[in-house]
Amino acid sequence: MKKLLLLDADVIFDLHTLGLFEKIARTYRLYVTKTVLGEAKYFKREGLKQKINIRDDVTVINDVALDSLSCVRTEAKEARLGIDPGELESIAYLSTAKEEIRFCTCDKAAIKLISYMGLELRSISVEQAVRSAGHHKKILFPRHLDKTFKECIKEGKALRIQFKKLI
Amino acid sequence: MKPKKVAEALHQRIVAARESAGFSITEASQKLGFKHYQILSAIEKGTRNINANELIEMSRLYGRVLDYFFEPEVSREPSPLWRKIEKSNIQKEQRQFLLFLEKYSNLENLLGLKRRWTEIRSSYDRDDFKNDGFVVADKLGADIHKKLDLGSRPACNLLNVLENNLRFKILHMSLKDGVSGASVVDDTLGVGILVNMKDAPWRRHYDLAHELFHIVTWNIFSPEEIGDGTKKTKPEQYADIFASSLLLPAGHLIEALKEISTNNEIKKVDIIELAKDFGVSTDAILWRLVNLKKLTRAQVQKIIADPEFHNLDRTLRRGLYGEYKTSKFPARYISLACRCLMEGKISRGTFAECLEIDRGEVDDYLAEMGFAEQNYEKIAVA
Repeated sequence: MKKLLLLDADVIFDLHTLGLFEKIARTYRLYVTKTVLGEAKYFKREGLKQKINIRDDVTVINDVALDSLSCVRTEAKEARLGIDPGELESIAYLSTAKEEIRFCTCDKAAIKLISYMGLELRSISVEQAVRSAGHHKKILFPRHLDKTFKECIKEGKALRIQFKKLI
Repeated sequence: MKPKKVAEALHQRIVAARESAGFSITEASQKLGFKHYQILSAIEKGTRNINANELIEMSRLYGRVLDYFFEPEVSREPSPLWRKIEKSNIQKEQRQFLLFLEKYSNLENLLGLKRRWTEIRSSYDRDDFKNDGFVVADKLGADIHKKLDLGSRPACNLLNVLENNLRFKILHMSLKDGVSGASVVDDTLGVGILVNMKDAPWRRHYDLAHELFHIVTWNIFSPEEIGDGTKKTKPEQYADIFASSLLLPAGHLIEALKEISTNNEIKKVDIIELAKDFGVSTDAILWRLVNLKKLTRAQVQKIIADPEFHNLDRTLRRGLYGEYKTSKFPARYISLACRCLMEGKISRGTFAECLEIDRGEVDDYLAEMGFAEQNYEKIAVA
């Protein structure tokens, strides 16, 4: 079973709102950091709040080292991106993880940072993730689409050239 | 910095962050979900390792950005000037205020915006105030009124001008009773003003003008001279005179007074109408009329001592609270946060933290504020 790190709470909200979380959970072994798990409290469907309970469906990462967090924070600062602590922790985990794991997010700033750090090959868009889970209906939001994801990857690479002078 | 020194600095900052946020070690331990306070104590002493999640939880509880814990050097925390009637602990409110300024400055930096607050600083110096401080404060109020082009009813425009023209960072918070607000000038954070949103709208206008005096004269009076607002020090009295002069420009007030009075007489209800018109309290109007030699001190003291006058004032203004409802965050701050989010400069989580909304509410918030993806498509400007 492929491993997938859900990078932030938004992707968890959206998968619940679209009714796709269970499908994804059947296809991938899901990982989330403790901070992200704490943020994913409820989602909204048709204006109503519904509680999220994914504790039994995911592996919770609780041992991200401070040094890794510090490094990712420095990278985000360098790239002039304001990334929230939960996402920084997820990227910190990913940047040091030895196992084969991919991560998924729909946050533009986070995708740019991933690309800025040269981690884009380890990431997939929400659209790709749900397709792999066998879902092909067009119900996704613009931020989930592969097109949006690729644009952000491109922008992240441009930032890499601008601030790191690396191609 | 060497790794050992980095670790030492981290532990020191964890302690400093907790203390400046006003938490005891026991209280903080409970809120952070530690089983015993000894765990936090060990983290602070450096005898127990801390992981990323624990530091993130601390940063949220203590109202600090992560940078505070990681940067090799942190600048000294600015000290806002507080305005309060009695001695009260304002540590938590101060941290919230400073955190707002940090977030606001960060949004400005991400968008490459410049600050323009230096334009407003006074050309007067200490000696000018020494000779005849009240006259100078009055003149300064009139000068700033003119400079900012505040018009005949300055209270209506002041907030907007300070936020959008001068780029002051103005936060409205529900503060404890007896605390009106605070102001701060800092090279990194810019100019910040904190106003108690529980106060009546006309009171808030006055507080804003009062704090403006402290900003304009930031380099003239020391914090010790100004005090914490519990005593009416000389600079505090100057600030009140300045606020009156700024919000109640002599020419416009006299003109309005002429219109409303008959045979050189005015009714009590007219005073209230004037106060409503200028967006200030009746006390402010009355003392300004004394200052302009239109009423005597004895007349004003008699009116102020009359409970019926205050009842009438309350009755006539009852409906105005809703009309002047204010939001916690300034429109410019919200707009910058939306721009940063739409341009992918901040994450959705950072956006939610900036606006203190739940992360799950971001889409609804944006829709409610009228922000939509297509509104951020770029159009070339000639």
